[in-house]
Amino acid sequence: MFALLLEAGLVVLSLVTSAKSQRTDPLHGSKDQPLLRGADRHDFAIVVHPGNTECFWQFADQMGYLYFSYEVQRTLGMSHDRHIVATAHTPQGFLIDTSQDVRGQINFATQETGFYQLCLKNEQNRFSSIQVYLNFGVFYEGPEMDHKQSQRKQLNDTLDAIEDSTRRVQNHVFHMWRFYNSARMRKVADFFLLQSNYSYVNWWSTAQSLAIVLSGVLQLYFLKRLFTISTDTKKPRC
Amino acid sequence: MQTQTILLCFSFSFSAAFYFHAGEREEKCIIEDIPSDTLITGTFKIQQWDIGRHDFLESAPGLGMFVTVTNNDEVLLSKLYGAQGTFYFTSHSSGEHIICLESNSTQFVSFGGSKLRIHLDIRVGEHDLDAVIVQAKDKVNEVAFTLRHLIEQIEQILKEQDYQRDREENFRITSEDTNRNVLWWAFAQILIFISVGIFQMKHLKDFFIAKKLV
Repeated sequence: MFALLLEAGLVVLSLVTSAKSQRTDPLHGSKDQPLLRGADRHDFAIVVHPGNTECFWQFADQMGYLYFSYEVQRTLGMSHDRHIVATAHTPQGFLIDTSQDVRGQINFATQETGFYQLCLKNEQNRFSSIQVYLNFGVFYEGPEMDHKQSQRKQLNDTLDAIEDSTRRVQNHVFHMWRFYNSARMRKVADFFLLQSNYSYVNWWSTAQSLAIVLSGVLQLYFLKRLFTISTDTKKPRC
Repeated sequence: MQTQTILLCFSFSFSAAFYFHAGEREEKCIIEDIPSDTLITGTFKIQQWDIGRHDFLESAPGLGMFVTVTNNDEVLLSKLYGAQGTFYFTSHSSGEHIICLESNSTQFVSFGGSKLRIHLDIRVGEHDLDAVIVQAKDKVNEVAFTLRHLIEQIEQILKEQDYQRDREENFRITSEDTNRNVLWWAFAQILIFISVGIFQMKHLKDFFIAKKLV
């Protein structure tokens, strides 16, 4: 256990000394590390103002998977176009993928260690802010494959079996959270759409009722004025 | 030695989060949709842009961070922290919580080159067990703490499912209200239409009688 702490300390020292490049060697002894410590997930919403670009940089080691999904929940303004441009870049600055839609996702394997850049650009709208729900994170599947092999050798060790089962359950819980967040993004966007439909029905019906009353009153007024004019023309004839 | 190792390991786990950029006097907000009675832990760190080196400094000397958390225009947290810190709050009611971060820079005008890099790690419904796991001396304690982390995850799943039921109920109520409003607005407009017609006929009849046209 002391060797494990020493190894972790060495890795951290290597990370701190090379903080400028934010690069570190892959952890060879990752077999003993808890898997969830490397996995990371974030889900929140942001407001992107017209013409602006919002970027987030997520750290990922190599030989992992980074997922990035987004959903435009609502527009705050006049425009109704909800398209947004999402891009992902490597730590070196190269473009990985681009997605331009109301909802989408960019998933890729991480080839190098560093901060991957995830950007959202609100360039279709010039007069509306956009509330976008983000769901991004990174996970690693390598140690699980190793543990499947080592599981055969250590079936008699109860504590190792408990630890291995716990690690697998945590991995499944992580992916459950990931897909739950994807479903929740869609549901919240649908709820905002429903709320706008509710208010749309109310104010449009109110406006239509006012239009009916106004057209009735105007009809009566102009009809009366028609007969008033014809009455005036009768007097000079008599 | 042990304390230093733990701090360094915390630094390692801290760098696994994400960061974003903000102007020195710019307020950045993120919106978290969380259930009620949930502990939120946010850890942040500011790095200041060095114009001379064209890179970010390792820290931001002299700067602090205002953290404001609001939910439905109710302020849950409004506090000034240092350049690196951890904020906690518990959500009383479910819904969208807006977490805003703004530096306490006293520069009157924000120059084009002055920007900050804000590292942020937000944990929903989790206590900081990673440091405890690192501190575990033997495998039994390590497995026990991992199981405790798993149990906390399960409890958070239960809270999210309760919140999901609340959202579905709200969704159903709003859908039924919209459906009912459409029906009643149709009836109301028919009544308004008939009333306007009757009103027109009555007034026109009186007008014609007054003018002795009929």
